[in-house]
Parts: sequence; structure tokens; C-alpha cells
Amino acid sequence: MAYPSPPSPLRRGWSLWTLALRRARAAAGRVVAIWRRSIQFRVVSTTLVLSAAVMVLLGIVVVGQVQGGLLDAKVSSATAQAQGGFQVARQQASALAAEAGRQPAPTGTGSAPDTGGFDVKDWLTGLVDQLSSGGKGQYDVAVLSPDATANTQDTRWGPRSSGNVLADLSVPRDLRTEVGRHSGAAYQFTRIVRESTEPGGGRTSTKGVVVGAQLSDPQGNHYQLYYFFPFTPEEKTLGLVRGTLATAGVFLVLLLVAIAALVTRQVVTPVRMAARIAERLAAGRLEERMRPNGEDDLARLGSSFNKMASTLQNKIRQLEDLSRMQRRFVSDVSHELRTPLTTVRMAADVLHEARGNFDPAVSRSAELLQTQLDRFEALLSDLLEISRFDAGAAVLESDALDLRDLVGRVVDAAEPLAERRGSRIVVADPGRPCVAEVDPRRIDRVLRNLVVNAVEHGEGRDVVVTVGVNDDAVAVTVRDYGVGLKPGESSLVFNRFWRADPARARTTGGTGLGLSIALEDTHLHGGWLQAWGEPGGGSQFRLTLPRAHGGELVRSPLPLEPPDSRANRGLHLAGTPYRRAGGPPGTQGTGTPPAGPPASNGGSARPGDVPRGLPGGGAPATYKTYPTKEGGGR
Amino acid sequence: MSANRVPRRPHRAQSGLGRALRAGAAAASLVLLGACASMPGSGKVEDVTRGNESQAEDQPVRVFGVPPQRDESPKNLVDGFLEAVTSDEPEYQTARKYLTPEAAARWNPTSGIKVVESFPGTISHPVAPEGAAATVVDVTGQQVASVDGEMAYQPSPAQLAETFELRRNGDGQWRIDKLPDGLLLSRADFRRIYKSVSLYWYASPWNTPLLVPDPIYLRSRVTPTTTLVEKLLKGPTKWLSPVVRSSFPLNTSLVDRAVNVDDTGAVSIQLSDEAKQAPAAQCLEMASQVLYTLGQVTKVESVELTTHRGPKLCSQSKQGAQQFDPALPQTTPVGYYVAKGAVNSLAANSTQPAPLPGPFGDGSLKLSEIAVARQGRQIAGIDQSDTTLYVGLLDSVAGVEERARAGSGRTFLSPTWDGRGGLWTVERNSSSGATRVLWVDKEGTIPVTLEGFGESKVTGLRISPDGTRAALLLDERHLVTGRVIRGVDPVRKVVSTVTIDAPRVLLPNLVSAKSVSWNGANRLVVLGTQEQGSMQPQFVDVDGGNTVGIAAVSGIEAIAAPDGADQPLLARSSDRNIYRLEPGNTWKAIREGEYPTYPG
Repeated sequence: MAYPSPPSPLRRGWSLWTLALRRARAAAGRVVAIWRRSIQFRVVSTTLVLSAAVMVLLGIVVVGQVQGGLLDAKVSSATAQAQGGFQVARQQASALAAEAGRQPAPTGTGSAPDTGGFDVKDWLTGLVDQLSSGGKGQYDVAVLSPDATANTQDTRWGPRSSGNVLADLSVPRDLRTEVGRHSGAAYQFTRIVRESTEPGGGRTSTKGVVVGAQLSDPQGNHYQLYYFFPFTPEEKTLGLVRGTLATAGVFLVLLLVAIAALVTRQVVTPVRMAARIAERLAAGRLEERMRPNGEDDLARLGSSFNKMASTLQNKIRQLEDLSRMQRRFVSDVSHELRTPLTTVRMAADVLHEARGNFDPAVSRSAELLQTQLDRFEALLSDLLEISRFDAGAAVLESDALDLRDLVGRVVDAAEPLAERRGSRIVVADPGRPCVAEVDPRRIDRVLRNLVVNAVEHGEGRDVVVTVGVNDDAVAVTVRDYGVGLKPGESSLVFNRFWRADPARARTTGGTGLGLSIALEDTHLHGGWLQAWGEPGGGSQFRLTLPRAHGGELVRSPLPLEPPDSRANRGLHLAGTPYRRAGGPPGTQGTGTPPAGPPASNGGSARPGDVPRGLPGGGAPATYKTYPTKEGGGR
Repeated sequence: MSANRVPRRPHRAQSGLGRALRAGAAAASLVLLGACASMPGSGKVEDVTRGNESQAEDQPVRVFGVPPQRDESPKNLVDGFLEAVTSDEPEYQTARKYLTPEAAARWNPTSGIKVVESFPGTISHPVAPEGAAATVVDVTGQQVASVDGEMAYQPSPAQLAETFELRRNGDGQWRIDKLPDGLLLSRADFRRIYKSVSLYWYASPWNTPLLVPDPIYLRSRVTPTTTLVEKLLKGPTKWLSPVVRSSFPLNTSLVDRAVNVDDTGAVSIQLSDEAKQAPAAQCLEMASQVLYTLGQVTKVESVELTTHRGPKLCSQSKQGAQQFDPALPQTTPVGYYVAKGAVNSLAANSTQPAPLPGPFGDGSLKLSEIAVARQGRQIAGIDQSDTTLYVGLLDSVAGVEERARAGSGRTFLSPTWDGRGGLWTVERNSSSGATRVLWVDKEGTIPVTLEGFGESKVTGLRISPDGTRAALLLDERHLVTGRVIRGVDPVRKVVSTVTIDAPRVLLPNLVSAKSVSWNGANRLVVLGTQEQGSMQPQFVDVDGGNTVGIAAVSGIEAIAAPDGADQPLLARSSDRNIYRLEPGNTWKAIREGEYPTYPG
């Protein structure tokens, strides 16, 4: 990408040019795209180009032949006409010469022949007039004195010509010398130059053939007689042929193109229909079908397409049924397990109460049984919650409340755990109300999950909870300074039963479903739940919620990447730009440094991990993931 | 599907039939087209249009002058100059190269033209001593005519003797230093370069306008529309000016020096503000002048006069202008002749003469010479004793009057009408042979004064249709035109004196002339004998500039021409037969008769 040039008048022309170039390129791109996408366009344009090429070729050949024929005919008729004229001129000259011979020197004393009352110039003018009068508009006649080299002063006179032909310029030098050298006639193609009769003057020139011969005037002096035949009628005929051919060619090409378009249209239309139907099928509208017309190949294509579509539809329906069955199975299993679990629980409670009476090994087993039962119960309730989400049965009961209160309650509840871990929970308050329409139970659950996770993975360091608000949204970030997340993990943390290290057994508490449920809760609100982390630098989770129920989120009031991240402090990969989280959660790369993380110094944040040494709450809480004063949100 | 198809079938069959029919029609038309695509072997008769021909006629043979070569002899130099003059350049650039710079500045080529029988006549020069700085070349020849500065042609046979003084220039080359103004052209060159065009004026002193042609010569290479209009605004030539007037107000001029003729023949002319003085009727007269003048060189259908940035003054159509034409050709001209003392009429398209009703047609008047008026259906006749002049109506029995009776010892001859109902005749003294011309009006007879005619006897008289020119045969030898000047009595406002003056000999080489007749307003037909020739009718322009011979019939004695250029002539032979000139230049005997005439 070129950097935008600074606006300068000198560059404006250039930028206009580049704009035009870009437009042209865009148009060419569109054409290429149509070429690639449309068979019809391809066939029609190929037909157009090929048939036009053939027509042009044909036109060139035909016009060439006609032109040759016309030229031959013109030359033969011109030479015949000119020969006749030369004959007339010879006869006149000899008759006059004979007459002059019979009456020698009428004035008696004249030594020069032209003093005898006979004027060669007038005779030549008259000759030109006479010879040209037969072919006004078809040919012109001129006489020239012989070549200047053979010219004596006595026989010098100006050229005479009809039709305003400038004979000096129209007769080529070569022809003049050739005509002067031998007695026969000669011809040459040339441009006939005429003086224009228009008031403006000037010269016009037409192509033509000039035929000439050197003859003798009655006094025996040489002169050259030329006939000029313009090609005007031939050019007119040729133009007519050319025009006719061009018209016929255009019509023929149009006909071919129309035929090609018609044929391909007949073929392509069903194919296009099939493509359209296939697109709809792909979009999930499985009931779409083609309408086969007739019994030809294309109709067969349509019917087999329809068959394929029905088969696909059946398969997909089967799979859907299967998946629904499985979900119900999970939900049913969870429900069915609760009743025996209650019994087991009661028995285990009895055992646990009486553990003081057992020998240490048995007592230890009883304790173990108690904790594992707690976990099992929590897992079961999480599975139920998840299956409720999967079934689409989760209902939002929203209420306008200040998020700061909610945060305070959650933090208060987490204080004991933090103390046990040796960390403090710091709350950063924007100092103004952060009222939003939320379901308090669900948001409480989400926040508790985040805070407890942070404390669990905070490795004894502080946990910072920040509340932010803007016109459209409220946000809460929970920052810890634990092991953090490896690149790419920030999107995985929300997966069900996800573990940072699959090899490690799930020894710590937590069901592995907490963050999944939090994410589903957030989605239910139309909000975002996003994670950021860096290896060894801790992690931050951000919850963004629209202030009004159903509102559209555009941006979060708080950044996802904390300002004290390594990147932001310039410690690590300073060039990596900060990217604000914009899309739906879980799909975006966050501000995680993409490359060169330091060697893993232990486990990263594991969402859903339950802190060890969790005091067993007595109540059958749905969310035993979190140590809560209330002991569950229900 | 199949339910759909069943009702469709008949429709499809129908369309199939239609398609077959259409294909058949297409095939038939293709066959027809194929038949058209070959050269025709038959067809109907088509007239050949003259459009292309006239266009080609405007391209005469051109002579391209050559500039002087090195070391030319004085004779060749003058020779080359005389040839270069014929090359018809607008400013005679090539010809001026033969002159010294001073002579080129002095020389005025437009002051007139001397037309010589043939060129070079004789060019002679005394042999100059070697190294002489100046010499003289004499050019002699037989001058046949001259054209004055107004470009009016006049036959004027004379011996030409012009002197060219030559001087060597700084380069040692001969150049012409002193030469006569104007051009010297051979008759052939003059014909080639110039063509005759008439300006049109109105006959004076009458108030009812009749168009009078005033022929001048202009270069034929350029279509001279603008020049013609400018000359029209300038006024008539000197010879004609006493008897004509122009309808254009004095000092009217063209505004943008361009006269535009569009393809439909519509002319529009912008005149200066003087033209606004003219009332509407006069404006129509002006437009008619323009229309008739330009109509000779290009196709003109209408003329519109405007002033500069002003309103349209008037517009005149071709039909509208024809009311001013005294010699408007009739589509079928009717000729008249005398048979056994009675007048018969003969339409051009018929061979069946019809006698006139009344005394003129029944032979009771015993006529020998007649004249039919162009207007008013009047006819005049002289009885066989040549002493009484009767006037009557062509198609009426009544109204015959005896207009004039010749004095004792005198006879009438050659009656003729001018275009306004004026009757003219010649009175001859039988004993002395002396003649005088009479204007025989209703109110009385006015003897016409002939000025400049000497003692010549008038043997034939015809007044032009417009009444401004008289064609006279003198002494049965010369054809002369004179202008007819009418003096108006200031008190009674009627014509009181009539003079024919300023005679011009039209055909100087005639040795005898028997008969003359106007052929339109600017051409005559004369029957006469030229040197070394036989008795032959020929057309001659009113200025004598152009003559065209016609085939003769044996023993031809008299000739008569209608007003139209291509309409048949009538002639009488010595065996008292009336002949008519048929298309193809052959004479056809019609009936026995004498004194053929057409109106005029």
C-alpha cells in the first residue's frame, strides 16, 4: 500500500490519473470477474471476437479483390480512352501540317513558322478543350511542353489543362522523362492536384492514373499530352462495397452472437438455477428443490439434484435428531443422578460427621468422599445449567441495578478466600453509578467466577477489579498477576472442560464448566466476555454489558488489555499495536503478544479451576465453584 | 405438464404454419433481391438532368503561365508575358514577374481588354545592339473588339499596334518597363476566361418597371455572385445609363460583402441602411433585379433583402419577379404569318395554322407586313400598297382602325411593337430611298430622331421587348443597335420626342443583312451574309460579344424568333414557304406564306 501523498496542486493531475487508472482497473476487474463467473458471457464474447475476426479477414480479402478488378478495368479503359485522344491529336496535327504544306508561307516573308497567323498555343488550348469536352467530370486533359532539358526557348509555353488540374504537380517526374524518351504512351498512378475553385483557393488532390504520350504539333515541335483519370468513381464503388460488407458483417456477427447467446442461455439457465438452489441448500433451506422441465439432459440434472437434496435433508434431519437425543440424554442423566446422589450425600454426611470415631485411614477416606461428592454435585448442577442453555430454556430476569453494588458483594464474598491465598482484592470504582439492566443472579455468578478464578490463579498477588461505564455499556475487568495465558489460549478458556495442560489431571476443584456458563450468561445479556493474558504477566477478563436490555454494543468502556501489560509498558514487543476488542467474545485475538513468549513458567490461568482447600459449603449450591457467603445463587 | 401441452398443440401447429409461410416469403423476397442484384436489361425512359453538365461547364481549360526564364530574348519575354496574362490569376502574379517593379506598380490590368483575332499577331523588334540597356518590341494584330473598364463589350475592329519598352534589370535580364494598360487577349483566350453576364435595370422614364439586361463580361472561373450584386448597386454601364434606372436607392451598399445562395436557391442579402428608404413596391423591384441578375449564374428561387441587423425588407420569388420581365417566354409561343393577304397564327406545337378572326384573318385588308404586340393582344399590319398601317385586336372582329397613312411617294415597312404597346414603323421615300423611323402612337405620330447614323437607310427595325434598344438594319448590310431615348413633355407628362442614338455595329464583318428579330431581351437573330460565307441566320448577343450560327434553309429570306431561347424560329424562303426550325436543327416546311413573325 502506498502512503497517501500529501495534497499538492502539482500532484493533483497525477492523482486524477491514478484515480482514472484505478477506475479502469476496477472495471477490468469486474469484466474479468464476469468472465470467470459467467459461461454465457464467455461463450458470447468468444463468438463475438472470433466471428468479428473472420468477418474482418473476409472483408479484407473481398475488398482487395474488388479493388484489383476495378483498378484493372480502370487502367484498360483509361489507356484506351487516352490512345483515342492521342490519335485524334496526331490526326489534327498532321492534317494542319499538310494544309500548311500546301500553302507554304502565306505571308511570304515569315521565316519563323509561327508568324504565319497560326498560333500553336491557341491550337493546344483548343486541343485540350476539345479532348476534355467529351469527358467532363470523368477525366481531364493537359498539355505540357517537353521536359525542360530538351526545351528550346522558341517552344516554351505554359501548361494547359482542363478541370483546373495543376499538370506540373500532377505528372510525376518519372513519367515525364519516360514519355519523352520513347514514342509510345505510358501511364502511372499519381495524385491529381487541382486548384480549388472555392473562393478560399487552395489545392485539392485526388488519387488517379495519368496516361501520357509525346506528340508533335503541326509545326513539328514536340509536346506532351496527358490524360488524368481520377479514381473517384472507383473509390465510390469501393466505398459502396466496403459499406455493404461492413453492414453485412455487422449483421452476421450480431446474428452469430445472438445465436450463441440463445444457445448458451438455454444451457446455462438450468445450471444457474441449480447453482441458486444449491446456494439456498447450503444456507440451510433444505426444502428448496429444482423444477425440472421436460425430459432432456438438463431435466435429468435437475431431478438427480433434487434426489441428492432430499437425501441430504434426510441425513441432516437424522443427525439433528441424534444430537437432540444426546442433549436430552445428558439432561436426563443429570436429573436421574440427583436422586441417588442425595441419598449418597446423606450417607456420606453421616460418615463425615462420625469420622472422629474412625481410625485415621477410614476417616481420611470419609473426608475424601465428602469433597468428591461436593465436586460431583457441583459438576452435576453445572451440567444441568449447561443443558438448560443448550435447550434454549434459560430465561433472563433483568432488573436495573448498579453494578458497583454487585461487584462489592462479590468481592466481599471472595475476601476470605483471598486472605487464605495471601492476596488482596482491589476495587477501582469510576465514582459514578454504573446502572444497567441485568439479571443479578447471572451477573453475580459471572463476576464471582471471574474473581474467584483470579484469586485462585493470582499466586498471592493482588487482584484488581475495575468497573467502567459509558453511554451505552458498563464493564468490569478482573486483573490478576499470575502465570497468565499463552498466546491463543485466551479464546480457549471458555471451552467446556478445557485444560491448559491436557496431560494434567483435573485435580483441583472446579467443574471445567464455569467460564462456559459465564459466557452463556453474558450472551444471554447480549454482552461480551473476553479474556486477555500474557505468559508470566497475568491475565485480565473483561465483562461488557449493554446498559439497556437489548442494546447494541459498540465499544467497551474499559480496554481489554490492561494498561500495565508488558506491551503497553514497552517491555515486550513494543511495536505490537493495541487492538481493541470489537467482535463477539471468544473469536478475537486479543492484545496477547503474538510471538516470543518467555518459556512457560508454570500453568496458565485455568478458567473454571476451583481453588484448592475449598471449604465445603453445606448448602446444596448450584455454584459451588465459588465460596460464597450466600452459598449459591439460587 | 401434459395437461398444459394438450391445449397448446393447435396453437403450435398454427405457428408452425405461420413460420413456414414466413420462411417462404423470405425465400421469395431473397429470389427477388437476387434478381435485382444484376444490371437491368430494360426500363422506362428517363430524362437526363442537366445539373452535372452545367457544373462541368464552369471549368474551362486553364493555361498556367510560366515565369520568365534566364536570358530570354525580348521577343520571347513579351511572348511569355502575353501568355502569362491569359493564365487568369486573380492578381496576375506570374505576368507581373515579366515587368520591372515600377511597371508592375503602374500597370493597371483592369482598365480594359483589347480582343485580338489571334495571338501572337506579329511581334517585331529592332535588333538591339549587344549589351544595349533598352529596346522596344512592337505587337501588331487585328483587333476585333474592346472591353472597357466597366467590362462592357463592344465590337471595334481596328489595327492593333502596341509598343512594349524593355529594359535590362540589375541582373542583366530583360524586363518590360513600359506597356499599355489593360490586357491583350486573343479571341479564344477571351472566350475562355470571360463569360457574359447581364445586369438588370428598369427601363426609364417609365414608372411601370420593365427589366432591361445590361451585358458585361466577368471572369468565368469564380462564381461572381457577390461581384454581380456589387455592380448592381453601383449602377448601369455608361452606354445604357440614359435609358435605364435602378430601383436601389443611391449609395446603397452591401454590408458584409458576402452574398449567400443556399442549396434551395434562396438568396439573402444584407444592404446598408439606405435601402430602408425604399417603399415595399420598390423593394420588390430591387429584389427582382437581384434575382434576374444572379439567376444567370446560379439557381435562384427567391431573394430576401434585409438591412444590417434590421428587419427583413422584402422577399421576392421567381414567379413574383417575372411580372417585370417584358420578354417572358411563353410555354407554347404562337407565331404569325401572312398568306394571301390574311394573317394566320401558328402555335409552336402544331402544324395546323389558323386564320385570325375578323378583317385581319379574312384577307380583306390585303396585308403584306404585320407586327403583333407582346401585350394587349394588338396586331398591326401594312397593306400591300405599303401605305396604310392598320391596328386591330388579335381575337376580336371589331376594333380595326387605320392608324397611319404614308405620305405621297412614301411607303411603310417593318412595323414593330415595343414592350409597352408602342408601335413603330419605318417610312421610306420611294424615289430617294431616304428613310425615317416613326413612332405611331394613338395620340399621334412622332418622327424619331436618329443620331449618329449618318445617311444610312433603315431597311429593318425591331424594338427590344423592354423598349430601350432598337435593332436596325442599315443599307441592307449593317446590324446596329441603338438606345431609345424618350423625351417626356414636362407639362403634359407624355412622350414628346424620341431619339435613337449611340449606334453600335454588332457584326462588323457582315456584308449583307436581310432580316432581324429579337430573341428575348438580350439576344438577336439576324439573317445575313458574312465575309466568305453564305446567307445564314445566326444568334448574336445584344452587345455583339457572342454569335452562334444556325443551319440555313435554301433561299432563306426572312427570320423571326420568339422570346424563349430554345423555342422554334420561323423563316420564309424565296419560294414563299414558311419554315419552322424543329429540334435537331432541321427546318420543316409548314405552309405557303409570307412575312413570318412572332410578337414584337
